[in-house]
Amino acid sequence: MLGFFKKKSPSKIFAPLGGKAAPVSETPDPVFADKILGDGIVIKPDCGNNMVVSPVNGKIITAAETLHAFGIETDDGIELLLHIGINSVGLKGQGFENLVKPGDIVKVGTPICRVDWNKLKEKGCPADTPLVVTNGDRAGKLNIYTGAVVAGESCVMEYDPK
Amino acid sequence: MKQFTYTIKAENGIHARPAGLLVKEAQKYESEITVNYGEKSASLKKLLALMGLGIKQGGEIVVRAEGKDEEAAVVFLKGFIESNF
Repeated sequence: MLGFFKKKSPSKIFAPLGGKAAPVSETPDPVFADKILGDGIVIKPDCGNNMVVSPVNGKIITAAETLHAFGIETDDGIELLLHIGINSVGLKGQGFENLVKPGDIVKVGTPICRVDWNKLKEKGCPADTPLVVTNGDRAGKLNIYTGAVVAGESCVMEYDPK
Repeated sequence: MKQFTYTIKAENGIHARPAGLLVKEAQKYESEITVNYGEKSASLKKLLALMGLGIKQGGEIVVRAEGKDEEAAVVFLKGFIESNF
C-alpha cells in the first residue's frame, strides 16, 4: 500500500504543435506507422499556427541539416524524435526556419522551428508530424492521449521513467 | 572485431527515417556496434546518436562490430547499408 503513495507521478510530454493528435500507427508512412522508430503519436497540424515548440523540458540532441527532424532528450533520459511532415527530407530545409541548435536547453513550449505549411503542401508532403519515443525501453508504460491539442499545453503522452 | 568502410551514396545521407530502420537492424545483434564518421563516433543501436553524426552523401563511415555475432552483424549490415545508403 505504501508503495502506491511513494510512486512518482508520471512524466508528461506535451503537444509540439496544435491540431489533432492520433496514435502514431495512423501516420501515412509505414516506417512510423509500424513503430519502427518508436511508439508515440502523430499530429495532423491545423496549419493555422506555424510554430513548432518543444514538447518537454530537456536538451536538443540533434537538429537535421534539412531542418525537418529534431532529437530531444528529456531531463529524465527519454529520447524523442520529432519529425515535421512526411517525406519532408526532400524539401532540403525549404519551408523550415530552425530556432535551436544541438546542445540547446529547452522547456515545454520553447519555439524550436517555424514551418511554412504551404511549402510542404506545394511539394506534396503530408503535414502529419510524428513524435515518437526512440528509447521506449526506458520509458516504461507509455500512455497516449489523442484528440484536439494545443501546442505546449495539451498532454499527449505520459510515461514512468525507469 | 570486424569492420567495414563505406562511402554514402544516398542523396540525403543517413537521415531520420532510414536511420531508424538501420538502428532497428543493428539492435538485433548482441555485439557492440559503432559507426565512425570523421572524428565522431556513435552506437549504431541509438537513433538520436546516429542522427547526431549528420552523415552526408559522400561521407565515409566505418562500421565496427565486437562480440559473439560480430561476423553475422557485419555481413548483414554491410549489405543493408549498401542497398539503402
